[in-house]
Amino acid sequence: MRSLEGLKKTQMYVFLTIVALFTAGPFILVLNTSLRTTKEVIKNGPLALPSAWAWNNYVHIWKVGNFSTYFKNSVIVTLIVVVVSLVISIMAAYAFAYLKFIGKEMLFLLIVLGLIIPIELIIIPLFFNLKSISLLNTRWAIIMPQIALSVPFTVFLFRGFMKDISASLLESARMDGSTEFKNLIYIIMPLMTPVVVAAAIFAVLGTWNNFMLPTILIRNQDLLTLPVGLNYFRTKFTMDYSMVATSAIISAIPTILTYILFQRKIITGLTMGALKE
Amino acid sequence: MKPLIRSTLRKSTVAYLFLLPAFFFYLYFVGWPALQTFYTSLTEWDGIGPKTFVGFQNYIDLFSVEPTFWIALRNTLLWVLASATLPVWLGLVVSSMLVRGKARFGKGFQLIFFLPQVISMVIAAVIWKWIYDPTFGPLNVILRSIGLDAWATGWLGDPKIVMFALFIIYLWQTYGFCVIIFTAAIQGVDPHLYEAAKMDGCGSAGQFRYITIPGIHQAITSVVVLMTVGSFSIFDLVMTTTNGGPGYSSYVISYYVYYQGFIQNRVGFGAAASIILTVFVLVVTRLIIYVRERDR
Repeated sequence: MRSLEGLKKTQMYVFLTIVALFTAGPFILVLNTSLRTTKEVIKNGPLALPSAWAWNNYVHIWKVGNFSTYFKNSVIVTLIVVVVSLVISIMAAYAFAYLKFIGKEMLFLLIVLGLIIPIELIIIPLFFNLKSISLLNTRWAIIMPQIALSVPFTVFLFRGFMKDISASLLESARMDGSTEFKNLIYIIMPLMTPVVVAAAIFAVLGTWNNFMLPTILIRNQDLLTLPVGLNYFRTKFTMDYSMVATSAIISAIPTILTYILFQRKIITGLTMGALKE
Repeated sequence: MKPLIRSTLRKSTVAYLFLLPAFFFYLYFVGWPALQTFYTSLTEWDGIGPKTFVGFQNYIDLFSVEPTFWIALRNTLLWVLASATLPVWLGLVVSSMLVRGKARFGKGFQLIFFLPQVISMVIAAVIWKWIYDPTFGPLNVILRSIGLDAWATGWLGDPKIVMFALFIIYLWQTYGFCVIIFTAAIQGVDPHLYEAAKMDGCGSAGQFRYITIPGIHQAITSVVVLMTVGSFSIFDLVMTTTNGGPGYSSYVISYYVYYQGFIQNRVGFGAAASIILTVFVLVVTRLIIYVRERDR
C-alpha cells in the first residue's frame, strides 16, 4: 500500500515536471540564445550553451532597435490609462453599489456586455472616428479607447468588492449630512486598497500588452508601443536569432517583474474577479 | 407620492454625476462604435467614398461567395472548442495535483505555470516562431537528435499542422490561468468531504470525480466562460506568427475582420464579419451560462 502511494507520488511529480518544462523551457532556451552570438547559434545549434557569454547583445539591442522609444511610449500610455480608468471606474462602481437611480439595471447590463464583446466589434469605426477628430497617429488614439476598454472589468471588480462593505457606515454618515463624494473619499476609499492595487495591476498588464489598438491606430514609428515595436523589430531582424531573442527578453522583463513582485495580489484579484460573478 | 419621485430624481442626479466620466469614455469609444459597426455592415464602403446601403447583402455574400470566410469560421469554431476544453482540463489536473496531491514546491510550480500569461502574446509569438523554425528551431533540432527526423517539419508552414502549432502556443500561454483559479477553488472545498470519500473507499481518481469536480462546479463554469470569450480574439497570435497563412489555412474571423477592413478596404464586409463574431461570442456565452443555471 505504502509503495503504491509512493509510485503515485512519483508519477505525479513526473507529470508536474513535464508540464513545468513545457512552460519554462521556451523561456530558458530564449534566454540562452540571447546570451550567444548569432554566428555561434548557427554553428552550434539552438540548444548548446554559450561558449562565451555575449552580454554585449544587451548593449547592442538598444542601438539597433528603437526600444528606448517603445518603452517610453508604453510607459506614458500605460500610466495615463491606469490612473484615469481607475478614478472614473471607482466613481461609477460607487454609484452602482450604493446609490439608487433610474435605469440602474440597464446601465449595469451595458457594463456587463462590455466584459464580453470582442474588440473586433469596435475597431473599424474607432479607426474612422479617430481619423475624423484628427487623433489618429497620436498617443491619444490608443489612450482614450484603452481607458474605455478597461472600464467594464474595473467597474465590475470594484462594485463586487464594495457590495461586501457594510452600507451602515454610509447610512450614518448620510444622517450627519455628509455628501456622497465625501463618503467615497473618506469612508470607502481607505477600505479599497487591496482591490485597487489588483485592478491597477490588471490595467497595467492589459494596456502594456495590447497589440491590436496600436497596430491599427498608430502608423508613426516614433509612437509605437513595445509589443508593436517588438513585432516590427522581429520582421526586420528575422535571421538574427540572438538579437530577436534579446529583444524578446528585454520586452518580457517589465511584466515578469511586475508579476513576481505582486504575485499574491494578482492571484487574489484574479480569483476574486473570476469566482464572484 | 410626488415628493418621493422628486427625491428619487434628485438622488439619481448625484448618481449620474458619478457615472458620467466612465460612461462618457465607454459610450463614446465602445458603445457608439459598436452601433456604427452594425450600420456599416449594411453598407458597401471602401473607407473613403460615400457608403452605399446594401441591406444584408454583405452577410449573404460572406456565407455564399467567400470561401475564405468559411475557412475563418471553421478555424474559429474549432479553436473556441479547443480553448474551452483542453486548457481547462490541464488546469484541473494540475491544480488538483498541487492541492490534493499535496505536491511539494506547490508555490514554485504555480509561479512557473502562470509565467507565460503575463507576457504579451507578441513575445510568445516571437519565442515560438523561433522554436518552430524549420532549420534552426530547437523543436526540429531535438526531434532530429533523437532520430525522429521524419517528424521534423515546418510547423507553421504546413497547412495541415499550422492550427495545431498555433494552439500549442495558446495552450502554453493560457492554461496557467486555469491552474490559478482552480487551485484557489479546490482549496475552498471542505476537507471533510474528502475524508468521508476516503472512508467510502474512493481513490484519488474517485475523489477527483465525485468531490473536486462537483465542489468547484461554479469555478469551472466561470473559467470556461472566460476562456471561451478570450479565445475568440486571437488576432495578436495570428498576425504575429502566420498572417493567416500558409495560404488561408490559419485564417480566423478576428484576422479576417482586420484583413477585409484595413488591408482590402472592404469595410462593410469586415464590419459584417465582426458582427458575426460578436453574435457568436454572445450566443456561446449565453449557452454556457444557461447550462450552468439549468444544472444548478
